[in-house]
Amino acid sequence: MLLLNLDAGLGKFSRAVLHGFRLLSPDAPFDILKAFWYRGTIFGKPFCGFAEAIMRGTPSWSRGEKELLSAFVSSINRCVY
Amino acid sequence: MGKAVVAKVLGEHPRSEVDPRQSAIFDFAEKLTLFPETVTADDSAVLQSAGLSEPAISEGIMVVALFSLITRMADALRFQTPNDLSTGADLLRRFGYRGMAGPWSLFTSDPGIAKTSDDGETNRTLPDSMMRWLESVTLLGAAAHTAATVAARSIVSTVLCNPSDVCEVDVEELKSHGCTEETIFDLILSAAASASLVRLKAGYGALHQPSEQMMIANAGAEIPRSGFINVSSGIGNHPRV
Repeated sequence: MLLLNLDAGLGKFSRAVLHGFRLLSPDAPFDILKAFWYRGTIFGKPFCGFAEAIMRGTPSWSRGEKELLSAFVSSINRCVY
Repeated sequence: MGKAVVAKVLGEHPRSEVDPRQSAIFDFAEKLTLFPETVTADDSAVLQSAGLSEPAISEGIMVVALFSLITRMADALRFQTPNDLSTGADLLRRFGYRGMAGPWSLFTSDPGIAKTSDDGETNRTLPDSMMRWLESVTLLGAAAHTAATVAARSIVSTVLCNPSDVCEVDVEELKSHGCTEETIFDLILSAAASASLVRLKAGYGALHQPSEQMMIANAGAEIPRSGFINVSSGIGNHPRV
């Protein structure tokens, strides 16, 4: 159960997309999508833009190495996500 | 990257068996995640002597900052972990991180979001623009702080140190002072962003300062102490260590 009811803050279109998505793919990470979409302008869009640029764009490490590093950081934070 | 390396790094094997470059950045990432205030120019010197270039270290710092934020959101808001993690990984492969930004962006590429770029110019400006964005997000908690200062401070320090301990009682307390769910979301987001900002600043402080003395001299000026969130509060005594 989410701490806050994020669904209530989403627009009809977002809820419809999530619903369709859930039918297609019940194991998708919906909660993170809801959080991104809840605050799209200040949080979702910039965060995903930075994530894309950092995890995919910057060339010193391979994608795999960065995914591994991020999994490592999450594990130190004791976060399974 | 084979599964063996993943297992090694995540703790099943001694870290010395991993590539020394990777081992060095993992040690640094661990220190920056747990004790950002202890990271100094000496740590970045160790990285450089392991053969890591400045851009490589910079990318490591940004990964730490990015995931310091999202793990706090996930823990504080109690994101449900999907039963089958491969679906999420598959979506990430297909749509990229950018694809998760909004309902429309799963189907189209949204022009409002920064494009992935391999050119050096973008990568040089990336830390700065990330810092500016995080600073603007830390201001979002103002509404909740105004409505219920004590309860808001309590949630902020929980999000900084032990985000999975944020509970319904805290939320109810804020609501009883007139906070809406949106205001509470913003408060949690602003606290998570300040945790990320602290790590970003500590990392770049270590990378760009030639000596420890200089870093200490500049630390006071570098860490913003905005009126309602002291971003350095609570990071020195991380309870999970």
